[in-house]
Amino acid sequence: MNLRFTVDGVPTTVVIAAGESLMDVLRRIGKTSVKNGCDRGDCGSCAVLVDGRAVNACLVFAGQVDGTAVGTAEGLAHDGELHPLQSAAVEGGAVQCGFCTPGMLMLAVDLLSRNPEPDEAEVRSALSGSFCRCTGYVKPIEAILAAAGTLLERRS
Amino acid sequence: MSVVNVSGFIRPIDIATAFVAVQQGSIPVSGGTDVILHEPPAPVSLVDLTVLPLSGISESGDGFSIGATTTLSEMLEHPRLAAHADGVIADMLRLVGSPLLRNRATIGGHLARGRLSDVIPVLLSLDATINWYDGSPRAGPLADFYASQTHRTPLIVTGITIPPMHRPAAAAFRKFSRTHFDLAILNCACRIDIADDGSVAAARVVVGETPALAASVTDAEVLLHGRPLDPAAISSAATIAAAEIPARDDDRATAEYRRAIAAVLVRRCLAEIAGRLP
Repeated sequence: MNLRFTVDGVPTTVVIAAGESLMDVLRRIGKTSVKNGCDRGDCGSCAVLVDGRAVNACLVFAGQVDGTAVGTAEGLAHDGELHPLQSAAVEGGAVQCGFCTPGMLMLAVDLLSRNPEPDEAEVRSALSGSFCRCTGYVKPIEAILAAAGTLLERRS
Repeated sequence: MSVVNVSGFIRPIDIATAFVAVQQGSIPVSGGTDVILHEPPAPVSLVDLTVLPLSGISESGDGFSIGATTTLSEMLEHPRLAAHADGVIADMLRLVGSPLLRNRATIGGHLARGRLSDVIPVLLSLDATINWYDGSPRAGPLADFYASQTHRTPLIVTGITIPPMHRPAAAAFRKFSRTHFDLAILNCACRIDIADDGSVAAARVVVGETPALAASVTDAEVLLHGRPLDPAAISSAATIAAAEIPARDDDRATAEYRRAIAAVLVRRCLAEIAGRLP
């Protein structure tokens, strides 16, 4: 069957199997920032945005995202300039092995779109479905709070 | 997790078309987070319910009507629903999976599955009414839906209605699990309505994951009725719940363990309610 959707803003048509997961389809078309960590919705490494909401791509039937806009970490940078969340992660030492980073970034995009000024507890709560194998949680939380500040400054 | 034994994917034009497919053996899919984890034994088609107009939350004199494909996050982010019944729905939803899961999992999926749910005990305690389609639109008390095993027949859950609270009243939820991500080893939802004379006018004591379907502990509800919600009544209700729940062993816990937990959770829920009542 055909799946028609946009991926990081690019209209995309891909032939999929009826039972294929969104994670497997995205990785197959080259979006390898979508990490296969557990393949059962426990770890959050495959988190992507579907119409703006972060979901575990491994738990979504690809056929169900027909007509939607899917966002991955690969769509965050524009014209060679990193997204403030990415810059904050790099500058703040929030990336260790990096495996969980793309998923955490998508969770953060979802959070900041609904809550531009989260407190630390709200960031911790939002990240609660994303597991860092290096157990580095403090730096990502600091980076998201810093990026939230940058984004607010840009808007004002 | 891609599922190999899915041979077709149906986008129905209306609920009647979707139901015909379900009658013919297709699996209805809403958020899909549970279906995708279970490989069917033989090739089967999926019916995507999310293309039908079954999503959304509305409020009227009859309470809150929630469409089946509404996600748990959408419920949590609805300010009036989240504040309903002392915030018991929101308290419970924050303990269901992760934000990523709640952004995808739907109320209809929970209701259709029946088991392994923190949502259902709370809805039972609030005397919710379920709506479904089995060739015709149907509605009935959620408790009857499970007690009569209707949920095992071919049907499509279309929504749930949560009635208004008749004050003074209060509700509470408790869950026992290894982590809040994990499915409950046991859960409990209670609601108490108070009469003008200060006695209990209506009591709901619901225990789930026994591991049978969540259900009222009727003897505890009868005991609480018509008397003040005092420590003696709470203690008796907890003792009755421990004895009366249909506890069984499974890979999460033994029946004996579940009975011990049931007494604690019922007592904590009722004590929290007693503290909230005027």
